[in-house]
Amino acid sequence: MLLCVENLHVHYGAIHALKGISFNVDRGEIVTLIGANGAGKSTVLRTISGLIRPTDGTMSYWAPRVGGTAERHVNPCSLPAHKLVDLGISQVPEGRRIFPNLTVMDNLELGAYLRRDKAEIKRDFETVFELFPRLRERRAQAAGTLSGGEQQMLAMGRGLMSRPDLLLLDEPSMGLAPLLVKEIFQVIMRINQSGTAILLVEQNASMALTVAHRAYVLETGSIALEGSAAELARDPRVQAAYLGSA
Amino acid sequence: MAEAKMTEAKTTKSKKADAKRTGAKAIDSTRFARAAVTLGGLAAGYFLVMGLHRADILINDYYLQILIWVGINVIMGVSLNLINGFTGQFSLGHAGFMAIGAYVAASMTKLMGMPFALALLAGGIAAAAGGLVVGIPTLRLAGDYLAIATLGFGEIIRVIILNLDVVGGPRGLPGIPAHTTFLWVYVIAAATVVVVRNLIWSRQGRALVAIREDETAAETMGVDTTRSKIMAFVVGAFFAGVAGGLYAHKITFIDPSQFDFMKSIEALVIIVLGGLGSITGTVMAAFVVTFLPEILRVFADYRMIIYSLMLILMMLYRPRGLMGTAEFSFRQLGLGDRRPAPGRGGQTAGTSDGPPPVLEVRRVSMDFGGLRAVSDFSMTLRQGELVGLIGPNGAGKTTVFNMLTGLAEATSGRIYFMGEDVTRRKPSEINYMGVARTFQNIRLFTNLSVLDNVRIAFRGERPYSMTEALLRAGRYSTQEDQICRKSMEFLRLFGLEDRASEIAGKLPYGAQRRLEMARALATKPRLLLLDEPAAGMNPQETQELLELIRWIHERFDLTVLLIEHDMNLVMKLCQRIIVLDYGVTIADGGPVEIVKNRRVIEAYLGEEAV
Repeated sequence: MLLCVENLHVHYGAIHALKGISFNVDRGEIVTLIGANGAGKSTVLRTISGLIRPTDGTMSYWAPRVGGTAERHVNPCSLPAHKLVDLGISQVPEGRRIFPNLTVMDNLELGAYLRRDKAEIKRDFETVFELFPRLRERRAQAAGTLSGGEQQMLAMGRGLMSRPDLLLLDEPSMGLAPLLVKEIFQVIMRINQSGTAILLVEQNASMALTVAHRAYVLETGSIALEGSAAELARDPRVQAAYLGSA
Repeated sequence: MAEAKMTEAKTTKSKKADAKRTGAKAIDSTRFARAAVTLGGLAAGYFLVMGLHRADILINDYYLQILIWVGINVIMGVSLNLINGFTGQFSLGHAGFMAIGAYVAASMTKLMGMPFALALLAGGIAAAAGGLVVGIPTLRLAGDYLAIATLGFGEIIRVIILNLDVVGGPRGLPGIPAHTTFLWVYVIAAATVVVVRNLIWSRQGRALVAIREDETAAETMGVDTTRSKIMAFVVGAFFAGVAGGLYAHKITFIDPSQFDFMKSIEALVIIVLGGLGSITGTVMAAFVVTFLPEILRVFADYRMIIYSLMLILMMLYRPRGLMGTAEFSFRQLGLGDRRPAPGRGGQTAGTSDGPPPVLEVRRVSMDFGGLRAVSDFSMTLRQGELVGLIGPNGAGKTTVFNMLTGLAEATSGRIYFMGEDVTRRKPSEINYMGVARTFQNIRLFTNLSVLDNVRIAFRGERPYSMTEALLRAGRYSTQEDQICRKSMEFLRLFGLEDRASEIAGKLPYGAQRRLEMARALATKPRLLLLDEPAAGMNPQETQELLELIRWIHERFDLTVLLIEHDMNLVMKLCQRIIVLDYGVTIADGGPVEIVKNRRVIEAYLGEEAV
């Protein structure tokens, strides 16, 4: 098991955003969280990546890249966000959050900020450019001048540059043209096939359930349903609420 | 959903008139109560201080002197906070305005024998003129650049005075009559607080805060940012000038070195300590900053070190200042806003006259450096049309929106709105003419409340003037009340009325999108541009959005142009679809036509689309 979350509670002031949720992500898995706006999906991701501190609950992350087995178990809650990147957790945030005044290349380099292996970094640039040829065309351009969809690609590329073991994707298909949505999900599968586990938050539930192995349905801060992605895709409740099969 | 809202509107219409009448009375009585409490409190404060002084309890002559300095610092702080804290224009030239006021006022009393009140007023006006002079050229600047420019201004003033022999040049101006009493300072400081507060809580003030939060969004909501910024500088400088006059007649000897850079920093310390954007905090900080060094006199040599350390500690524990952006409010005294719950039902839509094209775009192109983002794009929108603009990422769709709203200037070509050429118009002007938009990345005023977001945008007929705002007279209160009520109506249409007091940036994503639409509608547009309204929404929410757009389209008699990637939404909603690829229109037609178009399938939809 790569990540195990138990009884997680998060409050924003008086608002109880997450009400004791438990879930896990195994190595090599794609797990998706689906749910309405305001259900708390992004909060889950932001808590795992250390941007938000939970008020209660435990998380344990089994860091594959740390040497001795004893040190491998870490509690993400106890570490600042930047340390977690070093342990292999990388988030692609909602709304892209790219550095608009830096070039595409600079943005990608910052994704590899904690890495020292120059040759490997170079290879990863190639990997990113293969995944997103559009970024290669625009690599010297300031990121802020990219179109919305291109910025989304850049955010994904930047997330990959830290070579994560666990990639947290927050709405990767947002603002993408239909053709590109398909492409981005293919990219997600390719990233997964290279061994990276992915926790995916998506509004496009039908696509998310197609690529994911397992899924959780989040409703107002609690997990309402869980199961294999195929199972949930057939579930009439999910179909009615999230797949828009009307 | 839409039907339900309409019947709701009908049934409550008749109740509305009654509620309005009783509501108006309730407001009037609270207004008087508030004014009475304010004036009574101020008078009580004054007599308390004077009484204590006379009886020599707590306040001796020495403390009364310090209180005068507190008052002058309050004026300096509050006026600087208007520029720095509320409008977000980082200014370091406040000492310059103070110097103008001090020298003008002192010359008038000492050299010309004019009355003190007139001298103070003249000092304020001269400083305000200085504010105008700084305001205009520095408008293009922001942030650090503006800070340096205003810093330069302050120094220029000082050097000019240094070389003015009439006022003593470097030797200074001695023998100024000591007119400044506690009463003068007290009254003027109180007036400053009241006037600035009135300004902040008016539509003009909301425009200032909007500029601080997001200048681009403010422009597209119709805020004339140029005018607003100059206004902030002029009003702020006026009060700094008056403070200078008080200062000169207190200290009785002025020379240019008293108004150096450090004087500006002093004012800056007060507002940062008090909270950028809080008048209450500024007043508190003026007390702290003035009294602390005096209290610390017992430590003799270490005084300034201890003072500095205490400032550092206060900032560490209250990083956003003593009060942040919060204010003391009458609500805490139970004299809250007893405004009636806003009545239901909406305002009538703008009437359409004749059938001219609402929008006509003639062969516009846009180059970014060597890159041609949009090329020879033409489009005509007729009144009431609901048109989709689709195309691959990077095709130039948002650039088209930016040109239509004045945020980007077309390299060539012309854009006509309601028959008028708007190609080179400012965003705020275009918005005023009736074009409103939302943004792909959502540009709300994130630190303001949901209600304030809509109130900033709200456009009424014959809005009240700045004087009315400052004095809270004339049409101010009826209109403010109306703005509040109508803004709540917009929030209700979008299901946000329960969240009116929440901070906009804390809303979930979908609610933020709805709020942005509500804000755009509040400017009363005839043409609404929506940039990916369904992004980040699930199918169910998208379905609700679809009904909402249909409904506002009809209800407000709008013409709508929308960029969207959710083909399901576009197909169901739009009567006509324009497809862009690499800046060129590749198709234009009805939904059925578009899905069958080979080029569209290849460039955008993919084979098994929709």
